[in-house]
Amino acid sequence: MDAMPAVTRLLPIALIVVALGALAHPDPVDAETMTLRCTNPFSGTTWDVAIDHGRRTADSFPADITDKTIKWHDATRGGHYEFDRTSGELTVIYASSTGGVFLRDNCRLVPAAS
Amino acid sequence: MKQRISAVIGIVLVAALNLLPCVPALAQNPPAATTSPETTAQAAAPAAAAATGTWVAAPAWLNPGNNAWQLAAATFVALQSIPGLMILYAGLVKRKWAINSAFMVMYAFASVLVVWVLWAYNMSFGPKWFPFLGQPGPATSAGFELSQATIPEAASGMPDLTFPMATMTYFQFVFAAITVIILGGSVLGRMSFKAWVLFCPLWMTFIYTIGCFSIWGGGWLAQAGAVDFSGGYVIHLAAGVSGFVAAWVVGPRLQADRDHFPPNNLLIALAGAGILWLGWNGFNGGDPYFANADAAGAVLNTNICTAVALLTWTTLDSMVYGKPSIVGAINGMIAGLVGITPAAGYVNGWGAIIIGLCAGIIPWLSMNKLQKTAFMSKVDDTLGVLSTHGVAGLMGGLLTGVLADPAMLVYLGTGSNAPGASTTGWAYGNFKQFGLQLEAAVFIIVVNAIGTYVLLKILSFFVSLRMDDATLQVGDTAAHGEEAYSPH
Repeated sequence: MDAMPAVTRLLPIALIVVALGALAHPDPVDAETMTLRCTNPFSGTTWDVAIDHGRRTADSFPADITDKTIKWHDATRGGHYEFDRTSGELTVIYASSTGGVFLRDNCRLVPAAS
Repeated sequence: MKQRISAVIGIVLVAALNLLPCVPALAQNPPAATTSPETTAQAAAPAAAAATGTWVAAPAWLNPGNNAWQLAAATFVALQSIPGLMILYAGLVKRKWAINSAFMVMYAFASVLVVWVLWAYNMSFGPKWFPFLGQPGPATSAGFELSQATIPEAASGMPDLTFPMATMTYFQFVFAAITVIILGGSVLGRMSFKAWVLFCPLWMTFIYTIGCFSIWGGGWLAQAGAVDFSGGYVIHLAAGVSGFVAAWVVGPRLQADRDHFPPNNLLIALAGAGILWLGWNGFNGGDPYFANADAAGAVLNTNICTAVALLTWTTLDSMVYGKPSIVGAINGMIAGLVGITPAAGYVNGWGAIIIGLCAGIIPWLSMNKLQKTAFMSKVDDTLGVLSTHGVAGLMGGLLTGVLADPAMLVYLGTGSNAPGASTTGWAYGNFKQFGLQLEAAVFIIVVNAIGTYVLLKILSFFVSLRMDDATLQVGDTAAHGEEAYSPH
């Protein structure tokens, strides 16, 4: 049996497998960019935070991203943010004239496009 | 000769301190971008009226009610020092030290104000220099005094303030001044007045500012989430620890004075105590910086806690010593006032009662048991500042981490800031707050213990920290050429 025809037959199958694999796993650039969608439990106000795993930023601020938490400091408005991936709780600490001020919101990570 | 050397060194030190503001940025103007009062006033004036010329009482950002309350609260706190603590100390000490004790208070009040406006205010509340210290700079220009108040590193957690920087600077000054004055209660009856003259501005510059900026000025402890509503740590724990260290380094009173040190005028002391109690309405009620609901809550909680602590202390005195003591009642009152200070606007009324009970028991045990042990009594803490301020402040700060009620909103919040600014204690499910309070306490204790020790040791090279024995025998007449009560 000639080896070349076998390769010719297998090539389209290999291409299909690769294509399916690519569809199953989104573009790595997209996966690295996600949205943290947050809701204040008292007011119902919602807002988004852009999380970039590749650049390791949250809303363009340097972020400490681990499997358990995402932490960052908003250098513009002030405030230290900590998102607990397990509980979905976002804790915000602001400095005030009597010390720290805490706010707690509920958040979830969603794909960037949604 | 030694006096001349001391005088020269004193002048050099003061000159060096005066140069300090020139080192980093000269914060003559307000740190954050704010609209100048003149511009705002012009903008607020109706266009038609502007054409014919008119006057506007205040810029649009100024709220007369908040400004009036803040100035009144500041004055209440100032009254706690002069005459409050001035006559409380003068009345509680032995007759021969009444003038010296009162004078130490009056001098501290004046010297701290000068240091405060020249550089220390901005080291405590100005732009960040280090995570634990602001940039030194004067708070004296017209542009600074009349501009809208702000604490640049702590602005994110509070609404825009509605009074001028002059109000803020004075309000914070009276807290700074009373801290050194409280500390002085530990060294009454023997510290050299010359040493005190140098110690007050130096301690204010190098020690107080660190704790103040770290917690109140938006420094690292505030950024981490530690809280201190009105100074349980910044003022009372700092004064208690520094006072105890100072009492140790300066050395004790004459043994005869330690053995026999009767109050010379308890009625005067009671008048001072009364001013202290009611003045605390400004002390704790002024810290939200607005005449708001939390300010009212803080005032009520302050009085609840104080009453409970006084009654508890008096009960313990009666049980242990067989009769109630008015000096004990004053100590119980102070312990209650101090205990609620870090918590006043964070806890509810029940929390205030619990803190009051603890303030009547724990500082009592500290003063009547701990400070009377052989080891602790080697340090002559004249008025027991370690117990009534240090221990009570520490206890109150830790209990804030337990009892802070998240429903006690210091400021209301909308949108993503709803329901508002508050603190949640361990009793409400947030153990982390207790840990933060503990961390802050350790920092304040370490900074004050080491800082005060080093400062006094350096000072001792230039000036004698303790009066000589001949002066100690005589008292006021030898130290000041004056005495409280005329012999004629």
